[in-house]
Amino acid sequence: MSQNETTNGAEVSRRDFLKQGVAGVVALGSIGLGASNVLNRAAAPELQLSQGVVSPDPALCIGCLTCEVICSQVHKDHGLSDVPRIRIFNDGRVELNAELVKVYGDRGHFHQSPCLMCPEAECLRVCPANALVVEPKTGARIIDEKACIACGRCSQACPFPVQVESKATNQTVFGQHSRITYDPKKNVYTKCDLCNWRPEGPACVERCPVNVRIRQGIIKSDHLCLELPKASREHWDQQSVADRKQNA
Amino acid sequence: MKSFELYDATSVQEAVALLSKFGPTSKVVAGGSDLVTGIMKDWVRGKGMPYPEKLIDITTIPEMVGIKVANNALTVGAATTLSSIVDSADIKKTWPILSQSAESVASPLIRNFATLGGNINQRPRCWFFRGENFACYKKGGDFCFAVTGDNRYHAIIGGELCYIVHPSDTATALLALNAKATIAGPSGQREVPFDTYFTGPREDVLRENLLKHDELLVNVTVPQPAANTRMAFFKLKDRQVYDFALCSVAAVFTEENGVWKDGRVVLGGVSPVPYRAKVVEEALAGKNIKQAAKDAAGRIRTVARPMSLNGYKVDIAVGLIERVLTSALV
Repeated sequence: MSQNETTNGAEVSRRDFLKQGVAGVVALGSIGLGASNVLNRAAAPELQLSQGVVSPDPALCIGCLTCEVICSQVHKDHGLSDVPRIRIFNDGRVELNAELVKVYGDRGHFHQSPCLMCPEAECLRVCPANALVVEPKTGARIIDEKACIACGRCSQACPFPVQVESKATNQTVFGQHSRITYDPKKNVYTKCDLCNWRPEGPACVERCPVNVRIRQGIIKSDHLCLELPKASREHWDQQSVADRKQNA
Repeated sequence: MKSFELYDATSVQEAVALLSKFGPTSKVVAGGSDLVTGIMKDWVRGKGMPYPEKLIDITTIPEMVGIKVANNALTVGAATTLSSIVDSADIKKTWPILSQSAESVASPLIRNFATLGGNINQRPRCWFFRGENFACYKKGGDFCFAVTGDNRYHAIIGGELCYIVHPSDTATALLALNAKATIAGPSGQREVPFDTYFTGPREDVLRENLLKHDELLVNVTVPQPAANTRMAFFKLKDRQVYDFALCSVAAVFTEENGVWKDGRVVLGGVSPVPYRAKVVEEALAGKNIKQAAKDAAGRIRTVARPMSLNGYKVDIAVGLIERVLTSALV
């Protein structure tokens, strides 16, 4: 079942049924399906690691918002929610890369908040509708919008909060609290899926203008503004520490 | 320039029907100062911007040309020339900033054939967009050359993905005047406030307003200003002769004993859409305008996000806002 298939009436009923069921269980206590998934986590099979994880370097970010908007655009064009999966926040604590300042001046200080494609993926474990799955080709943890019942457990389970949205560079409010965001237009939650249907890979990594200029040799840097390394537990440990620090 | 077919529409319905029939390679033309002698002459085209092959002339539609004042409102047909607006005694008397903004456009010769609709809906002046060799987002390409290129004239507020600035002077004044646009399309006509008429790159990078390819702007309606309304407009250009705005400011507000009651401050030439500076308006609410103008103008810095070469435009915007607010009181 592809993510962008149109939802039909029968499936809406199933979603509503599941959602109501989950709401009832949550009201009664913490013995819902998701909770039992969490309790059984130790026994759950190990997840396939993601083939890529968007790894930003805030020191190279010029806050142009290309990643954010192109994320919305490619997902919308693919029939998915157009809520951006990566957000940019103003962050005066970021020390800019000296080469970047030399080439483009002081554009401001920003940090990026992408999904870290957690090896353990709490979001996936708590979903009562099995809407969160590992996409087999890329290993990305994705939300099947057709199966999502918009209960919000995945967003609550995500261990990586985002800054308050008043600090969002584009000043748009999406009601975002973690790397998984509710889209009221489609009544689904949404998260980074590594643009798994695109042969070019994630649009943010491909289109980031700083990445383009680094690849062209115009900006001298031994790494990109948005890298896409293969996920590993060691990398996740490092990235999560840095991420928590910038969102503290 | 490539040849094109020209159709003289005699009614709004006929123009819409022709646009629907011919699809995205057909365009509405009035004065043609931007479309024909700009976009088409300079071969501005791309994957998301097909070269026009059929032009639908709307200056031949009687209801789209002219200025009417009735029921406490001004209605200007989209195919009315800017010179007609400048020459209108009614507009000069009651809506002076519309007259001033129209007069600030280009040269007298151009204003004699350029129209209000054309000025509002003209395409951006970004030199990468206008340049034949730059496949930018706005033409359906995959890069904004201004982000890492020469961006001295680009957006300082609200840029994202694409960093054009909206080039229309009359749109800046009309948004400040709380105008409405009448749009015609296959399903009939509808009125849209200027607050929502313009759209940024996040909504659709291929256009600057909500007009679809088979829709056209029919007219603009401006309400009669309330009692005690003050207004002023100023446009700063990079050179003395005619040019597009480096930054323009239109302010329309009501006041009592010099205290701000309600109003709008709108900036042109700084953002992908005519930008309503709500941070400035909020800073003026209930305050003595003369005393609060400087601080309120400075609030624009809180929303500005200049690029590598256009930080100077933020200082200009701050200065112009203060100047326009105080000049409106004179």
